Amino acid sequence: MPFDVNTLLSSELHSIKNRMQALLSAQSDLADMLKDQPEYQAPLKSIHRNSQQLNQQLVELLSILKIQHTAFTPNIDENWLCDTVASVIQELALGPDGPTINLDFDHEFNGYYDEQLISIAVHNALINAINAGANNVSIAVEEEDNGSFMLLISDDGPGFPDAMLDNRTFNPQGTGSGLGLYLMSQALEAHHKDDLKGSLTIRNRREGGAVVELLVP
Amino acid sequence: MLELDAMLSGKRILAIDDLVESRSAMKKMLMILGASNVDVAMDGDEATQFIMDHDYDLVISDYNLGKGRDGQQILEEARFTCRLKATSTFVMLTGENAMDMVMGAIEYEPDDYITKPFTIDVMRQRLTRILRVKEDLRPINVAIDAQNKEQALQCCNQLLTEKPRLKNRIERIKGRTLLALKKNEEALALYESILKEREINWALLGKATALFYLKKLDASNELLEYTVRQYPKYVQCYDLQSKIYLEQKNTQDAQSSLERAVSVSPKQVLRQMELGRIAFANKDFKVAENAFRQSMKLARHSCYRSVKNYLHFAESLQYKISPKSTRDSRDGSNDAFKAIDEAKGIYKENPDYVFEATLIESTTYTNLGKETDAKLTAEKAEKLMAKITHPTAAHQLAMANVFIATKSHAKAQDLLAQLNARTDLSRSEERELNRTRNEISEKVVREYTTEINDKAIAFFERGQLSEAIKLFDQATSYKEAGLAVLLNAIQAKITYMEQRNVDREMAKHVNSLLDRIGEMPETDERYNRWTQLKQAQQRIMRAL
Repeated sequence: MPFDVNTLLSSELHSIKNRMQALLSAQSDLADMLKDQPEYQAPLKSIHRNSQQLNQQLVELLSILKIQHTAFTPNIDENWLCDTVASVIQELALGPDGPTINLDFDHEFNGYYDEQLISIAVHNALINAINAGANNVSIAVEEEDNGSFMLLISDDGPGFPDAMLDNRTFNPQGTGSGLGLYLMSQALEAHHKDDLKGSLTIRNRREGGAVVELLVP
Repeated sequence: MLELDAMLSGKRILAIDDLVESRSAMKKMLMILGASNVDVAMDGDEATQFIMDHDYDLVISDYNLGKGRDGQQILEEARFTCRLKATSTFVMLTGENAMDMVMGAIEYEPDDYITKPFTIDVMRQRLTRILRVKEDLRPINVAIDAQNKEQALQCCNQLLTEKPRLKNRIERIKGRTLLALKKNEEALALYESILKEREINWALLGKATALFYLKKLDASNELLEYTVRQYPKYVQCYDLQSKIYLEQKNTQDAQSSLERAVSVSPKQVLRQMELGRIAFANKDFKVAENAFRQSMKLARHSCYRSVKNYLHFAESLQYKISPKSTRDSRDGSNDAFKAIDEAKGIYKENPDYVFEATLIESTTYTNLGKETDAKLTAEKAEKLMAKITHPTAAHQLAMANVFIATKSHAKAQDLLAQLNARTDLSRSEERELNRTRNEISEKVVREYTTEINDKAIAFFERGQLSEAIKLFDQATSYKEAGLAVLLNAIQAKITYMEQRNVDREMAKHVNSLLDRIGEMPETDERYNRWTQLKQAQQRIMRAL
């Protein structure tokens, strides 16, 4: 077998991510134990914020590796959206002051998509909402007759800045949400069905807050 | 709605993982989620044993179990042997970068997958959904377990209207059932309607399978080519392609298709065996050797263990065995003897198998140039064959070939005569019989008939006519029997009839022997004897 740096890196990253998962879970136990002791709250918050950031960056790295891999083809299979979204929320390990996330769709809804890619997209969308300081996030689904569906993730945060809305394409610029949106759009565009291609749209709600629309063909 | 603890309690569950921490973590999770009866296994061997010994409602297995067999193989065996019923659930755990995961045959798919690592909440979420879906599909699976395919089909149709969300799951089973019922046109129509909505790999393979059964081989092959380009891990496509090529009598391409499949998924026993068989027939012994070596290894602790693996392997090694003391020859004969001994040990209660193993043992000695050992072993095989109540034509042919190889041509000739009298030979056995016949040296047989002839003369001279006739009959049964033998046989029979009593059958036989001699020129020194015997026979015929 030829030496494949990508595969090697990706398996390293996966084991780092597993360890990260264990850390996050221990940290959440610790936060529970110390929740009545105000003097620990500030450092706990800092640990929480940073470890989440680390976890997020790991997910990004993995996504980059996966999407940019030359031999990459999405693994489209039947999935239950509820399973996918619940896992992402789990992984975020939201603290007590994280936003409330409502799943406003039929829990029996299933569709055809690459679960890992859609997880990346949902993960990034939720991180954007959290970083923007949203208190409520809603995830809804609109089904189309042709078998595709639209995943709508809306929040009650400040919404996207105008400059970002004007950008028709998502480019990886430095760090921060630019990379997140770029990865999301890449993850979606990997989904094809006949002439249809997945896509990402962002907008702001008239009553305030951001909406991210993920079209999965 | 059914809750998870209600669905898990009372269920017998098997959890399989090669890492001890993962095993115990999984068991702990399941117990917290409401399970009460959980077994754990660490590898394929242990898992198979558990599945053979108990009836499980739910099996959760890691795909990658280290060195031995993987989760997919455990699943295939469990379903193949019907030890895991259709109503029981099989969940496969996969690593996040499941790049090396291979899809199994359409009839051996897991009910669902869960990606590792997972927390207990993820496990709760997924397992709840998986078991609910399974519960929804229960009527279909009950019919499948009862082997009532028509009923299963009806249930599919009914559930399709009741549970539109499960359309794909149900149609998947429906397609399989239609193919099993040989309703190929209907299956084709179903897969085409699925594919119109969305290109799904199992529907592509399903359509190709339906086309294959409908004898639309080129269309099927074309679709498979397309499918493997899109889904390179979908090895089942190569298996079907190989079947298409076999149907078209293109054994070379049949072999290469399977070689491609094996390079993606080397752990499937049945595929390795098939590759070995085809490569052996193609005389590609290197590939055959490797395939049989793998299938023997993989099947050792599985339900697919069969004597054929050992024997085919030993046979496939013969190409490198020679009297020269080369490394290849040494390794080859060592491997062959090891496989033969293992087969003899495992199947010692079965005389057929021990016989077959002994034949290959003799061949190995022959190829090694050890003639004495080869002959001794051939004699052992001969005794073993006598113990088989109804030896098959294949048994007799193989024995005849070993007789020839050990220079026991007359014995071979005897067997071939028996084979010739059989009416149950397949066409390839007929061909093999003719081929073997041509290998027998006439000279050697003639020497043998002369040997019998000498013994018969001794009986004749002592007046033991019946014994003499018996031996002459044996000698003249060979078409190579010489003129002297024929004349002696005639004389013994005529003497018998003149001295004792005239026997119509015997007289007829004498006629046929005379026919075999035909006309004899006067110059022949045996001419006088021949005319005397002919006259004596005419007298006997008149007396009849």
